[in-house]
Amino acid sequence: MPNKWRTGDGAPEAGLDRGGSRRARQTRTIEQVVAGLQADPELRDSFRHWRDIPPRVTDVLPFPSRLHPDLVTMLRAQGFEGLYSHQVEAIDAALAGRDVLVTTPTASGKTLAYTLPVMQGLLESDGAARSLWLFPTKALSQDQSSALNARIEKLDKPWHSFTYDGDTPPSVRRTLRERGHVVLTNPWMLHQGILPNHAKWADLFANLQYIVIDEVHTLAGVFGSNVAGVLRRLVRIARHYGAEPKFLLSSATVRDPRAHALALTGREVALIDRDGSPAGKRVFGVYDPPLVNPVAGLRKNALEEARRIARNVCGPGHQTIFFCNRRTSVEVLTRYLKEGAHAMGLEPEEVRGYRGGYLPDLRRTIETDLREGRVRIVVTTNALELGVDIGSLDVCVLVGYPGTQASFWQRVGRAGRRGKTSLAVLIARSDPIDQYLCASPEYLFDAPRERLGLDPDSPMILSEQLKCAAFELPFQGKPGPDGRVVVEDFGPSPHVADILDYFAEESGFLHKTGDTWYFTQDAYPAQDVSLAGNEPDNVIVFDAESGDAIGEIDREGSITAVHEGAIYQVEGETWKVERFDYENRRAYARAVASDYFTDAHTETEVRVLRLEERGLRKRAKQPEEGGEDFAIWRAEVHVTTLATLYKKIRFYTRENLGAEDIVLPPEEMDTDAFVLTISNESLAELMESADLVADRGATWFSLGGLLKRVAPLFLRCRAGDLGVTAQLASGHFRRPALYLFDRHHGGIGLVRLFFDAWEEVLGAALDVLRACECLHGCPACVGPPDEAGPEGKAAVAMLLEFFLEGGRPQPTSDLEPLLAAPPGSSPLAPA
Amino acid sequence: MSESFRDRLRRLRRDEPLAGVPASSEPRPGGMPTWLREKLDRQRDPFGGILAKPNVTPPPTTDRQRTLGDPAHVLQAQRSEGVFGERVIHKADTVRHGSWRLGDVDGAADFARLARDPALADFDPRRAVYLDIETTGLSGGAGTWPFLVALGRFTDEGGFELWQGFLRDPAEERAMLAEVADRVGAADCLVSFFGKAFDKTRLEDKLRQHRLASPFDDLPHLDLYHPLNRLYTRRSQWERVAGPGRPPPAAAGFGDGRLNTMERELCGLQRVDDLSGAFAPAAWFDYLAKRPHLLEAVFEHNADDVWSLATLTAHLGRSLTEEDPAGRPLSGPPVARALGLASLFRDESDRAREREWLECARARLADLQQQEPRGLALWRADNARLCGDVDAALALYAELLGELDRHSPRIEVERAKLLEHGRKDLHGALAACESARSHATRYGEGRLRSELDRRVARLRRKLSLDEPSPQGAVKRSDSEGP
Repeated sequence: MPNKWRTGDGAPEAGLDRGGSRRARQTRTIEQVVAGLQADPELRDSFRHWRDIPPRVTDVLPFPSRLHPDLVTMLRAQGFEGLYSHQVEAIDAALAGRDVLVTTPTASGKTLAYTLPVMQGLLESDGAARSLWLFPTKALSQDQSSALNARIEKLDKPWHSFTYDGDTPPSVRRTLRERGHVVLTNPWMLHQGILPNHAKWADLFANLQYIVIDEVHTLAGVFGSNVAGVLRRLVRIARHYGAEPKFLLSSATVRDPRAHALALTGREVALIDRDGSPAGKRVFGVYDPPLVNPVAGLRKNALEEARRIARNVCGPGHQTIFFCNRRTSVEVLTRYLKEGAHAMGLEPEEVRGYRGGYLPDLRRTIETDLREGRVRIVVTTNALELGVDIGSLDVCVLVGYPGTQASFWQRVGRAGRRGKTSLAVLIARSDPIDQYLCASPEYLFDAPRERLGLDPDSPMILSEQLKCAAFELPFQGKPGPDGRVVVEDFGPSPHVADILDYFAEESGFLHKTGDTWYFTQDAYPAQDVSLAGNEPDNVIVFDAESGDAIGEIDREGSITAVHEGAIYQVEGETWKVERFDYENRRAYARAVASDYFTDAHTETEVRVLRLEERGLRKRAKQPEEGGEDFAIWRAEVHVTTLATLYKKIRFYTRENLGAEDIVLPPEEMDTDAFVLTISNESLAELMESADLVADRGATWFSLGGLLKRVAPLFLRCRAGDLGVTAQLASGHFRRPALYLFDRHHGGIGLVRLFFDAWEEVLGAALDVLRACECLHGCPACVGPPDEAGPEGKAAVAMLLEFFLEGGRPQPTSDLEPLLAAPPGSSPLAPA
Repeated sequence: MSESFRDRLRRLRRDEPLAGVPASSEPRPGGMPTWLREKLDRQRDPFGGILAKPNVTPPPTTDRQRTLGDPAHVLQAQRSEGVFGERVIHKADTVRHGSWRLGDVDGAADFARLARDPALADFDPRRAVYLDIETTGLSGGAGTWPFLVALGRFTDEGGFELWQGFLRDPAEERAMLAEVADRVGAADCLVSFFGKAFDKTRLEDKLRQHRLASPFDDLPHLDLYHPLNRLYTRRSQWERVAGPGRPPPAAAGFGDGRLNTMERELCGLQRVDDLSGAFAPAAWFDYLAKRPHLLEAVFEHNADDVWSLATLTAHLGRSLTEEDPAGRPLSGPPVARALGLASLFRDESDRAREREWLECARARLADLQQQEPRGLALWRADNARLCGDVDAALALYAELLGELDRHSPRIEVERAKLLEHGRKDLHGALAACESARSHATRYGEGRLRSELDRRVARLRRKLSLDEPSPQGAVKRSDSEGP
């Protein structure tokens, strides 16, 4: 789409900002849009932060000398005179036989950097070499397949790329297995379809030269850890057939990308992170909706604010993309913007929604219309975050922080044409993380601070992946240094042989002969092992009338979401659960027009199983006597969650319409926890000195809630991945204890990350409290006073200051909790 | 902190304890919800129950003799690749298996035609290898073991040698497969039952996994399942001509196409105390774990399967003559076979022989005092027309038109063509076309209706009847008449 707007340098025309004819808006530049926002009396004060990122100049280098002459010829014919520096570096590293990770932004030409080494491999082996490409979504692999084929065709050889996924017809699969030089698939298909049937793919594995994985930053948590296991299986099978494939990885910018690649693939990668592609100037604005109720800390709704901002940032002269975090928001905002289209100089047809759940044909149409400029506004979810080709747009509005830095930058990256200025606006919600970003916007622009959790050696994940791997090929042990048998081809865990022995001796599905373990069960384990976690235990929610499935919920969440009498909400519709078949993991609900929702109360009990790590700060007053201020712990715990009762709460007014009991068995899990303990003396002293009307229990609990909600700033997880519980008098520690636990049975490594990041998390929590404009607590910080206590906000802030100031805790190998000092000697009141 | 890794793993995995399991050979339920298990089981049986017995109700295990250690007569075989177990049974080819002798393969013929595979043109049952395998699961995939592979062959001395290769340990797989590859490679062709989808494919995958050359490439393969199904199951022919409707006569074919049905009904084999293949995996797992096991029964079952391959081959190769080796009428549902053979010749465009078998099917139905299904009458009419027997075809079409249904317009079109070109009766043809046009309208056959408009117009021109205007030719009116 050639630029239709004039790159004039005229002063902003304040009178033209709002409404106006199509012609008048046609010629506005992005600079003028920005100036208009900064001048608008209704909006300008709510912009908490503006930042310009200067344009980046192109760094083009000559073609790498190793590059095959045919490829150089092909590139020249396409008008290339050289490649971006990061492409050259990546190709050089790949051709030198290194594993490579490229972390340059979207649209910087990463795909070409992988395609060329793959094509070179084909040329050098006369078509024998194979490569396997993994994409996180089906749509992406199909897009890439056609782009790749277009390139390969230029070589005029009988080589092809194929997409192999659930939609591939069986009749084509055989051809594809035998003649697919480049096979594009996804982790699920690899896990359940390709690896367990590797003999059918013997040609591919025997000649596997490259494993290409796109967007590896999405491979974190349970899913990522399982994929790491799948990759170990893949490499193991390739070796069986005599191949030693190299990894070509791409990722959004993440903290410590090398470590992430190592955990994922077991390889030390060559990291290419300097972007040589050009970029226009970017302008960022952080918008905090005005307070409507300073006491309650309530701000205007972010979606409504998006509608107001749209009047300034949308128009016929450029293309704007809105990102919402929920599907329903997409529909609401699309409707608003269509209604207001004429005022923005647009036709309603130029405004489109786009999200998962739309039919593929409709999605393709919208994508094309975006690329060709027929759509001027698109409202979407993360569906347009990853690589779907829609061309570059001009303005990006984020209705709420997407939850991770990688998502933030990928969304923002949708705007920005070569040599043109682009604008990105983040509209904050009343939520601790969004409010933190308003107060500390540098978080967004500094080096990434999220830790990616990846723990393929967690016993649960490792053992499930080993089961799948044992099905695929027998495991061969070797005598280790201490005489014990070790297995070396499945990652660094020292427990691989232990797990295999356990399967052979206690589960009976392996048979051990000598030092070899064979799979001996009538089963297909990949079918029972879900990459995303405990799916076999998920509860399916059915429409009691039609029998259709309407939703799915995980095991832990089910007792509070689909108990009998619960109002189950799907996309704004309300369903009343009539029956919860706990044994068979099914719930039956009937559509009702409910004016209330249900809120289940649970009791969570945490029992410490073992303590693994500890940091301790001694009391300044009596360090010799072993007095302690506070301690942090890493522990394995047993968590029992019992749903007790649920309240019916009227929508909007939040009026309590009554409560009823829930009768369900408790959920039990063993997992990892971060524990924060404070000594009784220190807490008493603190509360006394502050002269606060605070409820200690509520304060302690609110602190936990706040930490859980800001944690995703520093570790890649959803707030729901962490559970929190507070004890004022812990039976184990004999003092107040706060537990933040991994809500996945067996743990997926989040707690290790939290133990590493705890000071940052507490610091961010304190920043949120200090910046929050409410008086005594609100949903955007510790919660309203009726939950956090009358002066909960001040009390939590005081605790945070106490933990963060006055010295850091020191690691100690002493894992016995210090006993509280005898009551008589308690220095509650200093003399 | 004193908890061992093993204890921790046990606690985390929450696996069901193995105590005492599985001393029984019943498939173990596993620890997941029943609905999920059912879903997975459905996915795991990609063959729709052809291989597994659908109802394994009474566990046939109670009164069976379990044994310990190697099954009787299993000896160690040695190759450069390693060792494995094998058992060999010789029978004279005069021995009966059911009511047929193994040597009855002599005189069987027409395999290429019956199996619709030209590669079987030189098929000689005496030079074939007969294959059947037992595996640890139907799902395929690398972790499924073909722990027992049976290969049968006729010897030059007039006997039948049954060789069973057996994995006494999973580590013996490579050596055993190498032996299988050699033995298969020595034969001129392969006989199996459902082997194209199962036995052969499984072995090919395993050979590829062990990087051994496949003997199956270009080896002609008679998979008895397909021709026997076409000849003897109701699904293949009868339901096409008669629809699902009323209960079919026994002569219309079997309700399923499994090996047990075929060998019982065609070759008179009643297996006594047979152990279903579904119990084979557990038997081998029990053996590996040194528990008392039912492998003897699995070996017997496997051997019976192979001998049945020989007798079924003998039976199949007599389908066209319909005479058994003693010169008596061939066993098997006669109507189904006649229809199956008719369809065979139809697909070969051999109209005369197709007609013989169709008439034969009709006569056999009449003998059974069964009414002829409408679909069969229509098939015969089409066949008569294609044979050039205008009279017979017209008569049959007229008969069929006594009853109106949505096929009527097409029947009338065929009749019109015959009248026009066969009888040169243009008036008759025109009347048939117009009637067809009217019925096409009634049954909503739009495309046929426009075709008929053109046909009517052309006939009218030929008859120099009032030349209707071009608009008239496509005018929608049913009231036009000669």
